[in-house]
Amino acid sequence: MTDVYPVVPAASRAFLTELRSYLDGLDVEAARAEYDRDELEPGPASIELWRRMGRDGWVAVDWPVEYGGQGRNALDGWLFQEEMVRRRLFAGGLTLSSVGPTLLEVGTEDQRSRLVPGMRTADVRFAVAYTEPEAGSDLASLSLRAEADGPDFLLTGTKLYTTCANIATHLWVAARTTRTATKYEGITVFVVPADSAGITVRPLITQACGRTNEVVFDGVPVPRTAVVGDVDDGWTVIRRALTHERVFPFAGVASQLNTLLTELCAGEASALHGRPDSASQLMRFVVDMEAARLLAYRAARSAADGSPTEAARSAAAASMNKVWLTELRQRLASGGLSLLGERGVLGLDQPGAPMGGRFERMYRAATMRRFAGGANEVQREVVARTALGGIR
Amino acid sequence: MSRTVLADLDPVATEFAAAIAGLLADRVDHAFLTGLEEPSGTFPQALWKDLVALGCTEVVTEPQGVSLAAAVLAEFGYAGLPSPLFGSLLAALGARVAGADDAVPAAKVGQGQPIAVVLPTRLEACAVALDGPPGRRTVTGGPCAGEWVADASRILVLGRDDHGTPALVMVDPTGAGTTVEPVLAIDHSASHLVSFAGAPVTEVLAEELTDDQWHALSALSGLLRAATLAGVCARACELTVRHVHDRVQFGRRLAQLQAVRLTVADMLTDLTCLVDLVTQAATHSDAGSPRAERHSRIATIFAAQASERILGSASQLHGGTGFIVEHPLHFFYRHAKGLQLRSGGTEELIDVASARLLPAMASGQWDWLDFE
Repeated sequence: MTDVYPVVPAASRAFLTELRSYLDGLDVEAARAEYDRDELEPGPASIELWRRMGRDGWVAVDWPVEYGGQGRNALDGWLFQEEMVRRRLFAGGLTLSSVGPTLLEVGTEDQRSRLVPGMRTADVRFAVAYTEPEAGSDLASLSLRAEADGPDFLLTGTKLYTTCANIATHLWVAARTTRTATKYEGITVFVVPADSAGITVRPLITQACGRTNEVVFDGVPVPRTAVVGDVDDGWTVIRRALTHERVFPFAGVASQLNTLLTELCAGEASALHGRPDSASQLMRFVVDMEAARLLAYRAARSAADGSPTEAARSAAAASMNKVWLTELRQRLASGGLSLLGERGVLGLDQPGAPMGGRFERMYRAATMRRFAGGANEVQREVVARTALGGIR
Repeated sequence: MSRTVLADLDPVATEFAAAIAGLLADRVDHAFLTGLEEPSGTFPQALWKDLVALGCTEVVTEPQGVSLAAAVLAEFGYAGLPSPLFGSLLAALGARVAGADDAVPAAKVGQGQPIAVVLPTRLEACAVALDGPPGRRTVTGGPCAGEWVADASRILVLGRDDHGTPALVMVDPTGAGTTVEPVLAIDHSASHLVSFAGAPVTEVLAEELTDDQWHALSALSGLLRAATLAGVCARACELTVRHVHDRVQFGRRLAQLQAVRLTVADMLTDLTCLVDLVTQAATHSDAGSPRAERHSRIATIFAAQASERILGSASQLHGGTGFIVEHPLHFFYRHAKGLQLRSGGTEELIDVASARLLPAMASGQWDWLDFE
């Protein structure tokens, strides 16, 4: 029975059992409370949890053993993310899911030895600085300048929506080193210490009561040794980094749905009591959730395959996963609040808020997921391209 | 797009499906499907004979019968071909999964003798009464909707005795007391209204069908229609991709227009989900998994909803070209709706599924990572 079309392959079951056993033994309530307030920016308890798990060897499970990982495959890496999200715990963010794997692939030996060990223990924490006021979905049109200064560079310009810049030790910065005929050339990625002179971080508060940041670079000096990959070939590095962010975990949305389902059957005490259409609405979400689950599994399997022939299908699968899940998240948040009726207006942790006000917070935050991480319109374009060939 | 619709089933099923697909590609074209619209009500015998020879009906005797049936029906859906095969496979496999006596239906179907199925979408909606002592049972009731009844050697019927106990029986469509009236339906599947007036029961498959047995049968019925819909949707997506590639407007191919590309992406995402859900359900059904009913019901609901979206978008993107009967899209557009409605319609599917599935979910027994 356990091998019937498994979302968790047999080979991964022992890993997941061990991980769950390990996590069951940790005190995570404070970290979870931080996650419920803001999923994207870890608070002190979440950072401490990250540090503890790193020392115990339980982060970056799919990194090579020589870099402190467990040497597991990409599918196990995905399962790790799912389990952490299922428990509403911060899992290292882009530091571990994107920057780390990219440095392992294209970083210099010096960069790897200086940065990678600390990334596992939360001593090195990255914020990714891509987006600019005039470069959002069209990232390649970025214009933050990296001007040559002898052998080194000076960074000047502004980045927007650099989440976690306020708690980061380092910034992963995409800058323009050369103006060329095609915008994809002439970009370089730099690793910049966050406390460098000339960096100003300004908070941008979101409608979800979370924080992202504007980061201004005013002639920030960076040595040539901070270049990741090759000068002017940063678009290759960015694409690599983005492929590592591929699969969006479904477990968080599933967890919210489970909360509603449990509430449904809580009898007269239920916040959904007396709503005749609750069951049919929730059943619709169950169906869409199952589709999301299989799409995530398809994307994870495809990404784990890693073969060049699978690359296009892998990209399409990941894009389908992202679009479906993020739009389901928004529908679930909206539908869930509607089912809760008037009391749904009560905010997170407010007295009398049904289910702790988590749906109110989810609703505020859900809309961002549709345009962040590659806007859903762009993701749909990736899917369309696989079917329609090179027609643009 | 993969040329077998359900490409992730095991290699045996996929290879078999490819063989069926090849036969149907050679024999089923626009003229053939148009011919089915005539109210003669019988399936072309030459094609049926060849399908039987290829092994379409023998799948019911295989351990992986549900996966094989799903794979074959998906190819029928892709070809736009309604046929007596659905009822035949459901009768034999349904009797098996419901724990009823499947010997007679399996034998008849295995030999290529079609069986039509007249089952309500809900147990409470059963309109057929079972009368008489054991050994001399008769059925009375209807009219009930069925397909390809005029081709069938037997009709599988659910009847309830005067205590309300449901039983699964078979009746000879040409026997006394059975009236079969051809009717025009939304699609080109030969449809009939069947009425029973003291019609003798020829075989009893289950004297007292339990609730769980009924739901296993009902869920399988939905799954097999969902598999057919997967094929219908796959073909609709393929026709659409070809059309937007070829059609030029405003000096550009439709495939270059952003709104068109986004719509195509959504169609393909829906199709991918549907294929995966059907594959999962079929695999669980063959394994006798306790999750078989859950996965089958979810696949059925998704098929009903996604097919509406896919065929709606296909129609929109084809415009007038796809609206006229000279283009094959209308077969798929109408057949999709027919399959959806014969499953019970979306609202009823959701009602039944929510009653069956949500209590277990709410008790916290579900682990979305499917980890036992």
